[in-house]
This record gives sequence, structure tokens and C-alpha cells, in this order.
Amino acid sequence: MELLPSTWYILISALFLSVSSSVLGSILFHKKQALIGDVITHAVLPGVCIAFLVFREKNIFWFLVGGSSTAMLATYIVQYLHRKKVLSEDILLASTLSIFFGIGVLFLSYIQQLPWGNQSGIDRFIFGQASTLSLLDAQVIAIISVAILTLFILGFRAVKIWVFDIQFAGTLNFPFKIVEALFIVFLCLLVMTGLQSVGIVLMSAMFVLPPSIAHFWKRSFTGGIIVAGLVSFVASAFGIMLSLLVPHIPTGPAIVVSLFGVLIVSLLLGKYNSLYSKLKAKKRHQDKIDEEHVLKSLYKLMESIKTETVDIFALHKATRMSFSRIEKICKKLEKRKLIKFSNNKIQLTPAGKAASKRIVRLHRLWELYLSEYLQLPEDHLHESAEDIEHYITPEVEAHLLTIMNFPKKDPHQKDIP
Amino acid sequence: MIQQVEKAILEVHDLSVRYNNKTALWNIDFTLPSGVLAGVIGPNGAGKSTLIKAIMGLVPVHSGYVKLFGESLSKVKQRVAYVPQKEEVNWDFPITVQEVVEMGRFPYLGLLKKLTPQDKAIVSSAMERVGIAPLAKRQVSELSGGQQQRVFLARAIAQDADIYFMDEPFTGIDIATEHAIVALLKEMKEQGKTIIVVHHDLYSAYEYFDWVVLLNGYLVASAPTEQAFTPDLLQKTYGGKLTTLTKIAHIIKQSL
Repeated sequence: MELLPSTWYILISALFLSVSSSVLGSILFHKKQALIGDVITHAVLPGVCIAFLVFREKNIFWFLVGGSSTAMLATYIVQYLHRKKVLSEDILLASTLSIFFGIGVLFLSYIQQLPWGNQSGIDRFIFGQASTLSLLDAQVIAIISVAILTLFILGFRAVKIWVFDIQFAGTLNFPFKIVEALFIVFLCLLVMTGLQSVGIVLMSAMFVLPPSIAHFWKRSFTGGIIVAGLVSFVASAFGIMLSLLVPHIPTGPAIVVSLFGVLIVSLLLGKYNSLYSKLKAKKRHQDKIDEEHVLKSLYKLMESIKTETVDIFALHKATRMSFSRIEKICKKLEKRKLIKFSNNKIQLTPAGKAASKRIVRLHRLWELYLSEYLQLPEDHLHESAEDIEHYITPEVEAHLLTIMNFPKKDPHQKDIP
Repeated sequence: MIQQVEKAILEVHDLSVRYNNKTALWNIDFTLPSGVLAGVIGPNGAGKSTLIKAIMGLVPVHSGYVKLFGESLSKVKQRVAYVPQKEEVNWDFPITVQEVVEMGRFPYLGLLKKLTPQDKAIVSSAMERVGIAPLAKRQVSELSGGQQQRVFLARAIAQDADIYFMDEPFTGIDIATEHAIVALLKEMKEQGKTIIVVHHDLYSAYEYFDWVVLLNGYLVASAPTEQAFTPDLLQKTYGGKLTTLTKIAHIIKQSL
């Protein structure tokens, strides 16, 4: 397949758009203001249409002016009414975006039934058609993106303060109001530049989805932006190629669907906070509890019948776990050199003795703590200790020992080993 | 009992604050001497946080004015540090402890100047002083409430200001951390800093502060702790709102 020269600049402008929308999108993401992006993407439409009606041609500069004006007007209205407390913020955001978009669509249908309006292709602005991108459009995207990146890098220190702690920012000798204003202005401009390739409405996905995806993989502000930019570019390139090769596929939705695919994978398998990592953590925790339970039962069995070897049946009876589960755990414990395990007989190694002793100690310490500090009766202690013993860290253990003055007996008069 | 002082480091002149149509502060008028550890004390809704936010220019002032070092705030911002309430900060933001403390150097560095070795030394000694140096590379979101509060304190110390305003630095922390912070504040006072702390617990206030501002929507007292802690003044502070003020505030709210 041979790429037309136009394909190259379409792809390069997609790279610019991806990186700069990831920068602004990450700020929105961390400021928890994703809906502002939505308001802006919807509110540019009436401005674009008005610019078209006035100048009767597709002129990127007038579109930028018109679209940005109505978008800024919309965000100003939201902020003003929010400050005046006339309605709650979510209602203001949702109603402003739909009202502006509704007005935009009315203009749009009016334009389409004008004799000179039909061939304009202005309807493509809603969902984007990358093939209509002109060299001039690509240059405008490049200029605005470079401006965003430059300002972001120069103002990085201030941006961090502003996103993290806006109250503190307000007390510093620095014009954070200008940071805020520039942010909104460039959001509006960037949405406008995205209208050819992604379409105005779906530009909000370019703000929200890449930072959300990055959040599953990177836990740093700049790292997240880099991942977001990369993912966004790959998805954009994929969506653009698809819409160039297959007729009638609009670019914006193709990009969004690609991003959606990446989001699903990240959500399931990502490094942080994904469903898989949650399941894994849960299983690891359950394994730890079961292992500690087995160790503790071994210790107690050996304590009560004064023997060095326990067989698996006694353990089954004591733990009420299935044989296969016990066997699995015993093999793991053997690997960690905590027990010796052969012919269904189990012996604790010295390390295993220390480990099992510790669980029993934590259990009895907690029982003693509950009975001394919470004045719980004797029959209320065991169940809680069964649970809490798995969570007590060495620091908490030391703390418990100190506050209770290194006790020797638990509330049931058993030794604390 | 409002004791005015000569050569005040902070002058709050007939300050009223009204926002969202609610009157939060009525004609507050007091002065503070320099080098005190002062507590702003009062019940919930007394306008304690609002008072220091108004001083810091974070909420609009309805009438009156504030002077710091005899100047308006905008001229002396460099010398003033503010520690916001813990709840007002975006703790989910991925940022390390050290980065937050480095923010304290922003007034000196601006956007572009690199941290000098001296700045770095100030940042690390601030972290040492509050005992969070081992956490320097940790994400702030992973810290406990007490540790987060210490990070804020370290940032304020790194700001190296002359006057500090702290909004409820003792909420949500354990008693050991509270005592450590108080010891540190006293140490800062010995070095000549002036510290104003919003605090809601009356009993510990007596121990901690050498000057108190008692607030209950209006100013009940501003004086050395010994003189302000009288049964009569405490009754005025904690014994319910003044009925007339509450009524007027309600009427103002209705008519705006």
C-alpha cells in the first residue's frame, strides 16, 4: 500500500493532536473536570456554524474564532452560574452542553438546506473525516499543539501546584488566574483544530480516554501524559487509516472505538487498579490467610498433643479445609522451608516454628488487647482475633507488646509464645 | 476583651465577610503582636477558617481591610505562608512528598529557575524537621492523614516565611503527631516566626497557644491566653450564637 503525501501530513497532525490533547486531558483528568471538556466540545458547534454563515466558506481561522468564542461563552456561563449558586454544577454542565449543541445542530440543518450550504461538508465536523484535512489545517494543528506543549513545559511547576492545591496557589505571588484562563482558551482552540480529523463531539474522548488508559499503567503525572499521548496516537493512526481505506467510515468514531479497545484491555489487565490486579491481590491475601491458618493449626496441634509430627488428617480436622487445599498449601510452605512434608506427615522447621509461633502470638495478643482496652467478654474475642491476626504488622506487634507491657498470658490463660 | 497592640504584625480592621449571601464574619477588629503562637478558637461555624481565608485573600471581603507588616497582602505575599485544610487538597494527584515540599520554594524560584543546592538543603532540612525525610519519594496519596499533615508543614517551613497561617492542622491526626507538630511550632516561634493556627479544641488550646482569638461569628476576645480564658468569655464563644446576629444574617440571606 502506498501512502499519499496527504496521508503523511494527516498522520503527523494526528501525532500533534494526540500529544497536546493528552496534556490538556491529563490536567482535566487530575482536576476531576472531565465534563468541562464535554461542554467545550459541544459548544463549539454554534460558533462554527455562525462563522460559516457569515463568511460563506470553510475558513479555518474564522472557525477557530467562532468556535472558541461560543465554547468560552459556555464555560463562562457555567462558571458564573455556579458561582452564583443558582443550580448545582452537574446540572449546569449537562444543560449547557446540550443547549449549545442543540443550537448548533439547528444552525447546521439550516445551512444544509441553503443552496450553497450543502456541498460544504460542514456536517462532517461533527464526526470528523480525516481525508478532508488540508495542509493549512495541518499547519494550524501543529502551531496550536506546539504552543500548548511549550506553555506546559514552561509552566510545569505552576501547573502542578494549581492542579494539586488550588488554595495554596491562591496565596502565592503568581497569576494563577492566567494559568486557568490559558487552559480554557487552549482547550477551546484544540477542540477546534480537532474538528476535521476527529470531529468536535468526539474530541472529548481524546481528552478523557487516553489519560484514563494511562492511569492503569503509570503512576506519575508526566509518565501518564507520555503513555496517554502514545496510546492516543496509535489509536488515532489506526482510526485514520481505517477511515481512509474503507469508504463511509467516519474518523472520529473509528478512533474512539480503537481507544475503547485499549481501555478494555487496560481495565482488565492494567498494572494498577485493574480488575485483574484486584483479583490477584485478593487471591494473594486469601492465600496468606490460609497459609497462616495452617501454620497456626500446626502449632496448636503440636502444643496440645506435645508431638513434633502432625498428619494431614488431624490438620484437616483442625482447619476444616479440603485435603487438596491443605496439600497445595503444604507444598508452598515446604518450598519456603517452613515445614517438612512427606507421606502426609508434617513437621515444622525452625523457621516454620518461629512463623507459626508469631501467628499464635498475634492472635492471643489481639485477644488480650480487646479484653483489656475494649472490655469485651471472653467469648467475644476469638472471632475478631481470627481475622485481625492476619493484618498485624511487626510495628503494630511491637506497639501492642509495649502498651501491654510484654504480657505472658492471654485472656483464656493460655501462654503468649 | 480585645487587647490591641503597638507595632502589630497583623491588623484586621473592621472585617466583615459575606459569601453565598451568608454572613460569616461580623466586624472583626484585632491586632496581633509579632512572635506569638496564636490560636483562632471557636465552635463549628464560628468563621475560623473564613477568617484566615479572608486574611489570605481567598474569600472576598465585604468590608474592612487586613494589613500584614503594615502593608496590604499583595505587597508582602513572599513573607506569608498558608497551610490549607487537608480536605481541600487533591490528594489523588500523583506527586511525591519531595515535590510537594519543593513547592514551598516556588515564591523564590518562580517558573523556571532551577533549585539551587541551597534550596535543596532547605527542602531536605524541612522534611527532616517534621520527620518525613524517609518518605521523600513516596506518593502523597499513599500517606496517612498525619503524614500528609506533616508534608504540608514541611512545605510551609520550606517557604521560610515570617508569618504562618494554618487551617486546622490537627484534624484527623493521632495525638503523638499533634504533640510533635506543636513542639515544632513552638520551636519556630522561638526563631521569631509568628504562627496563627485555627483550632477547635478548647482544652488543648490553653496549653498550646500564648495568644488566642476567640471567635463566634463576631470577635469575642483577642488577648494573651491567660487573660482570654475566662468563664465569661468562653461562655460567649461556645454558648450558642447571638440571636440578633443570626436573625439579621437570615434576613440578609433572604433579601439578596
